[in-house]
Amino acid sequence: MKRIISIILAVCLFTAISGCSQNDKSNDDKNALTTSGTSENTGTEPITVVIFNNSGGGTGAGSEAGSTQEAYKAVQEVIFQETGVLVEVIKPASTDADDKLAAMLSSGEQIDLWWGDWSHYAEDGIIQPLNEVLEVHGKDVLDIWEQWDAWGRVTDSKGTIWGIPRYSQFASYFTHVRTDWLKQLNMEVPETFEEFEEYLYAVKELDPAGNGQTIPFVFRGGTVASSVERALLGGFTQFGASKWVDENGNVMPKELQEGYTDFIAKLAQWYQDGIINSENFSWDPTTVREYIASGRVAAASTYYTDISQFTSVMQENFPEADFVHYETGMIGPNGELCQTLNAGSSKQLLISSKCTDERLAALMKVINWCFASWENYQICNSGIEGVHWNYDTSVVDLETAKKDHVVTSIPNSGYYADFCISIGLPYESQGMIYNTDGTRNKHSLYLSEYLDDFDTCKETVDASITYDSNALSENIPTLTDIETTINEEMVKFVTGQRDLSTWDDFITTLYDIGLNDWIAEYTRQYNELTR
Amino acid sequence: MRFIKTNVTIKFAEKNQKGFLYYLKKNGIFYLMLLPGVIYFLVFKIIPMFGIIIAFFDYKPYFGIKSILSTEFVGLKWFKKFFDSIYAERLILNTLKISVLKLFWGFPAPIILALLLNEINNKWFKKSVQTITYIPHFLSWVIVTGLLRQLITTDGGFINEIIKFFGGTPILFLGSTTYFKSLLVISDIWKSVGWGSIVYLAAVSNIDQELYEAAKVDGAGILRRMWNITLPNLYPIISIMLIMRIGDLMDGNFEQTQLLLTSQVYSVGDIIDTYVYREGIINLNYSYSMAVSLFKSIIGLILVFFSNKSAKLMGQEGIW
Repeated sequence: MKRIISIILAVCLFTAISGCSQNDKSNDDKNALTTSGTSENTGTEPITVVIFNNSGGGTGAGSEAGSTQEAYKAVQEVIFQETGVLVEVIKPASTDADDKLAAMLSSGEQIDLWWGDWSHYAEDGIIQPLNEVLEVHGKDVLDIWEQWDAWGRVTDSKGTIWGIPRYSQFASYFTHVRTDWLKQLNMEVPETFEEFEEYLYAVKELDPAGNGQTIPFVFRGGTVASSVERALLGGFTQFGASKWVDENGNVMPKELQEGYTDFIAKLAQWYQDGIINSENFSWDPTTVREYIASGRVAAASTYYTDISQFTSVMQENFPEADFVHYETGMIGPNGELCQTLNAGSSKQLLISSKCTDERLAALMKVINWCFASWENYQICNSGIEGVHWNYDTSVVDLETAKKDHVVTSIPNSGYYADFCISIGLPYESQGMIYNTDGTRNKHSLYLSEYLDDFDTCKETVDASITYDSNALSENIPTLTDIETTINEEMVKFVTGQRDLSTWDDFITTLYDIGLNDWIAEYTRQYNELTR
Repeated sequence: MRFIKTNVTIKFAEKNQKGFLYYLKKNGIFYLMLLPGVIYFLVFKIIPMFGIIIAFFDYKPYFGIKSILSTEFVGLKWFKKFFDSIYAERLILNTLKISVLKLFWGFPAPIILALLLNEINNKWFKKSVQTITYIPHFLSWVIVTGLLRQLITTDGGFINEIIKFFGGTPILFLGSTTYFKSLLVISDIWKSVGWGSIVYLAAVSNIDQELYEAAKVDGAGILRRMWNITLPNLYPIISIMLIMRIGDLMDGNFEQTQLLLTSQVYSVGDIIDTYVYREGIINLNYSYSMAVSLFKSIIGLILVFFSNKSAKLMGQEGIW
């Protein structure tokens, strides 16, 4: 009897282990892959292309579980009808997207398209050049990004195009202030740095949130470079938060600009006076957003989405509260604009070198269709009209709504931009969304009105350049050490752990650990890529 | 010389016929039950050891496992890169300091807890304390560090509110190089003390109760009984646990440190694992990560050998 029980237990153990190691096909049905990796058009089967959607889009509230299968299939079917290509999308969680991509690429699974830095992949032959296929099948893609002057970042020094742009330069690090607290203080929206500083001290004194709960000023934590530099440094230095070229033609780090120490001194003074919260450097973006939504923040120099997407959350408890920023750009102590343009991430749309010519043509056909018109973009981004979104006629008539792309999403429709290949400002800036009270949705307003407001910012010197990260790593052995030293020491200067009188020692340390290599390599690449 | 003929037959020792196959046949069912575990270790622990060689190659993950040997052999390049970093010394020292502190304060904690629990007569109370102390073990570090942040924040955190109540100035624990290591040690002890005491409680339960009774008759108090009976009987298990713990000296508990680390405390909190995560994993430089991990593992192995030998020399149990 004991032996029989032992046998049964052993069999159960084996079955459990083998069962756990099987892929759950039912759960993966939505993201079914053609694992052969060579799904060619046999004449009866459509070509299937697989997209790893790590673009960062479709991450609004409620999107954590991804699109419903029904919504996914519906949009997939529309794209198939329009292009004759079956598109499958793998949408990873944002936290482990890069790890998952690396794992999938190394395991040989079919991934035809993903977002990444082309300089990581080009040298190793993991992605393929796109010049020819763009000329033949990607005219709309070429045209639309040409208008945003974005092709420079995806082109190497030999003129080879390695990816399709995802970003162009845009204004994204505004300095926002609370309108209701401005009113209490009888102040106007600050247009100069001095006015802004006056507001900060006044609001700290007033403590409108009560019990010392007011947080005068927040920025994204971690390092000084995370957001506050981009928002304010331009008012202290000539080039703002950008590498710069000195009189000898050398590319120099922003920390060596004249006026940079004045900026750090100002932040240190604010930290000392309690304008900057003592824990701000330990706050990640999520924590910053929580504080903004809590209604305790008086001013913020953060990425625009922290304000555009979370002001409405704040307004659920504080209906009168709102955040605004300057109209024409804030002027700093040096008489120049404070904000520096965001050069954008180095992430672009990349196509696998394993893509055969036939699959490449099909893929480019899909990409071009996505970029061909706003209507196509809207399908990819928001789903199907009448099912997932509608033209919003509550504020304007239908004709105007169609002309101006005034839309409203249908709640709980279940689609979260899985197929949004044409993500990026060209079409994001064209939509309009209104709130139920007839006012413009804040995020929509930023996308359409403010992000291309280049007059409020300084340009980044090397915005059109994607540096070769492999070459940087090879030729600047202490690259990470230099970056770590800068990040660490800046925080120490601001928090008072290190006195600013030792700034020259800090610069000497940078040179000792290899800043000359840094300057030489960046200068070499800059000259090569701007030739 | 006379020879006497006898009928004595000298029997040589019989060759042992009971080989592996005999035991396999006799106890086959147990070997069958053992098989999944063996396969698990073979597949997930032994075979992947082959991957260690990427520490000597410029391995790119995109080409798959098969490409390991076809990528460029770089020798000790990644080791050199790590030791050339100006932060290598700091990283190693931070790792060792934090590990030694955890060892010094954290290793005795479950032993003391086990000793104290052993003295509790009220079964209900004893079980309750055990359960309560076990629970933190099942919480992930994400939750524990989140709770910790809520407790120590200067913005209404419980600890700082108490400090303010008594007239003190709130302390920026997470941004202070003075307190950061203490935070790591205390939270680590809180999370692991209950679970760690299980092994010692099991060992204590095997102690002959007659020894305690005899000691009571001799007039030994609680502390004397603990010192002279309980502890000596725990020495073998303490020795084994200590050897294993010393082997982990170069492991700084990446998850806990990464979740609590801020740029203000890099000088005391940045350990090898957090550095490798930034440099290796995020940048997909797996070769570099593997090289540093290999370095750590070799140090750990040397420490295990050394401590095992030391334990044996002192008359205690070793792992082998």
